[in-house]
Amino acid sequence: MNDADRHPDEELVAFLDDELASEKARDIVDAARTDSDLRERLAFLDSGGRLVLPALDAILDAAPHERLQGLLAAAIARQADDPVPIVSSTATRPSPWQRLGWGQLAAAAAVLLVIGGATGGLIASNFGPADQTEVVTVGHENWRQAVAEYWLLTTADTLAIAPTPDVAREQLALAGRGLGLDLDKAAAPPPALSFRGAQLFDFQGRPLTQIAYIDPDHGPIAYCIIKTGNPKETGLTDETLDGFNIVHWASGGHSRMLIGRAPPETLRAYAEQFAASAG
Amino acid sequence: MRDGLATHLAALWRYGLVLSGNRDVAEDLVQATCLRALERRSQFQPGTRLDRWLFSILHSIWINEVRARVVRQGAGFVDAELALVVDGGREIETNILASQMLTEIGRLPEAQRETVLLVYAEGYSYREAADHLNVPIGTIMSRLAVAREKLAQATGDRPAKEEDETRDRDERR
Repeated sequence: MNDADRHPDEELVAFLDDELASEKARDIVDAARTDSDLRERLAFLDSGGRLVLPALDAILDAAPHERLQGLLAAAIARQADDPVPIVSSTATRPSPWQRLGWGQLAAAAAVLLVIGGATGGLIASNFGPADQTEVVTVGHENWRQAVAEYWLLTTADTLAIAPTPDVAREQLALAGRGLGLDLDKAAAPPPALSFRGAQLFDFQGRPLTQIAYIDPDHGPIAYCIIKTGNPKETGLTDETLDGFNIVHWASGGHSRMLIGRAPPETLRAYAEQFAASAG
Repeated sequence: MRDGLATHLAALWRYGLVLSGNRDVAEDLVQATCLRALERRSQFQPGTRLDRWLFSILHSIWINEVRARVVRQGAGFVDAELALVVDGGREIETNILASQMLTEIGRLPEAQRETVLLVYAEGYSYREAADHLNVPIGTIMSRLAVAREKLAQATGDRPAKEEDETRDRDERR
């Protein structure tokens, strides 16, 4: 038996990694002085580790640093939001219009892009359906929540008086300019709904339009559009917030929602008509 | 905690990439790790290493929540993916070598890849790696020995013992 056989590779690699007890390490050093096979084996195993560190460090250099910072920002935003219940008294909550900065929304939008990207649903299903829902809604949930809380203040009496046709046109033109949309065409309402005014808001620096309608059977309904710049298209999705039924979707760099107390199937039918008119 | 997380994002992403062989899974692992670390920040013991704690969280998420699904769905051609990461700099010789080495690291079984990363890139001692992976220290030694032999063979050097044995066999024929 020569020294290379006497010292298994595990021991030699541990020696190279400075992980061997000093007595055994001395033994290898002594043996290598006279055993060329052992020296060659040590050199061979050493060569196997030589480029490992620079190669793995090249991955660090190539890491998508900005995207990772965005993921962290989204995680912080979501974690910060977690203690806030979705459905609760509005009196104890800070104004949702100020609750989340646009930077956090942008970070959350990055998460949406990641999830909707090339992985084809693989990532989306990695953490189970519950977690996925929370991640996807982290950004957009907040503007819808803000609308829902504001809409709580609206009654049929709030919308009792319809604007004149001239005022209606001016309101739609102003609100549409903020969004970069022609709302005369893009917000053609279902026949059952009666127009009651359009208002342009600002949600953390982003234009947000709310167009109010009265449904003769179900009371106030609002069609809201926020400019996000996110090209991701999402289909009609039902949701309930603060006792309201909601249908939301996204297209053309805008997120949209319909909110009211109409039954979900009615609201969805309206949403389909709004979505069709928006193109 | 937030500043600490920001410092370790790239290392977490690299860990996720080495485990999964998929950049998108790696990003997802980073985000899940951040979320869990923030949720459980009260469990972090001041005075201990934050990066090691974060790595434990990522490892746990990978093993318990992600790995089976990724493997089942056929993702993770790890050798190609690792090499692609640095392919942008092909004209630089060191990048070519790094790319070749990453391909070889990517061809190692997952357990060996992970151990190589922890010990040779992240500076884990054998004992720390054994504790992190919940295996005996002998398993760490064995994984590294096999990995080093494969990497040495793949990158050009051949073991003297093996060459002699091959020559002996040929001469006997």
